[in-house]
Amino acid sequence: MISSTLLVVICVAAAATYLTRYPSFALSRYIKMSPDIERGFRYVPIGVFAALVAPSIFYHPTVDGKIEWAFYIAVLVAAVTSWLAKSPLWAMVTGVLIIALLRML
Amino acid sequence: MAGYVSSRITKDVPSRKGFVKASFDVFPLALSVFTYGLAFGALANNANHFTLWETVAMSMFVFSGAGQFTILSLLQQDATLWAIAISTFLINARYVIYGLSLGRDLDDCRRGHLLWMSHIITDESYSVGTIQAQESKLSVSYFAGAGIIVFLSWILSSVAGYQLGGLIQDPTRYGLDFAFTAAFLGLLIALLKQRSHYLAAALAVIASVVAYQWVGTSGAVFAGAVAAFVVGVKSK
Repeated sequence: MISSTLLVVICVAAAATYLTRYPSFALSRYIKMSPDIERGFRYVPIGVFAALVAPSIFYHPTVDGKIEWAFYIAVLVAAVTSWLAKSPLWAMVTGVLIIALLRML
Repeated sequence: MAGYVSSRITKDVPSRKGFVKASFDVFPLALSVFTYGLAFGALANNANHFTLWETVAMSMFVFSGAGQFTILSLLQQDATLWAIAISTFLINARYVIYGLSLGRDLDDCRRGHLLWMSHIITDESYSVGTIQAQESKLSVSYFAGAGIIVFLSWILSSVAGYQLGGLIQDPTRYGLDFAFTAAFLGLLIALLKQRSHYLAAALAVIASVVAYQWVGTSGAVFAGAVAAFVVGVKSK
């Protein structure tokens, strides 16, 4: 079963994604875009990922009025792992493992 | 879905064999997509409590790794439908460039084919497609082969990840609430390859942290995207 709320979310997200794919694909032979603008588009994912990560780190809530150091250590480990392995998957695996271990201590 | 290019791509592919050849060319990339899809399925189950059909429907109709992780994150933050639509569009904005590039390389085909072929534009199909197009015109069968293999890998891994995720009952205890932050951090760092990328990321961090205070997640994503876009336009 699919809830009606989530069905709407999926339809909206599918339409938003399709809008990034179809029009430029179908009209490519008629559209001219300057190299500067093309390069700008290639940088957009960097901005989006940074914007999704930064506020969650910067505004991470305290636990019982104290800073949750486990969270910030896990951020550091995930960043270093990603840097070394060049893999989002490994960043996720090591980050989750570290924070889980530190929370159990 | 990170970009990667097979080195085994050769020239002059007959269209009938194009599908099979593309399947082989894209296979290593499809494997990396599979590992990523496992993470999506597990998170959809544990963190967002989707049903299996909701997970499969999202993977089938949205078919965007980074976009779907973003949606999971936004749903957890009770984001509005507008925030989800804008964020999904922004995170997938690179497909505009892929579409422009692939559309020019594509061999003549019926206009109706473009309707379904556009849905299978991904980092992976773009990577092998553009390399193939350097040697000869990109055939429908070749592009279909690359796109459909990645599509199947994404759907199957979403299902497998969902089933694996069902074995874990307390996500916070196992640190799964941190998975989003870690995954996006990993995606971000994987994209940083030159000085202007770091500048774009730094400005996006500042812009998003400031914007988040006033306009929440959607505004933060928009501010970050605009900051990076401007750096991209200005960089040489």
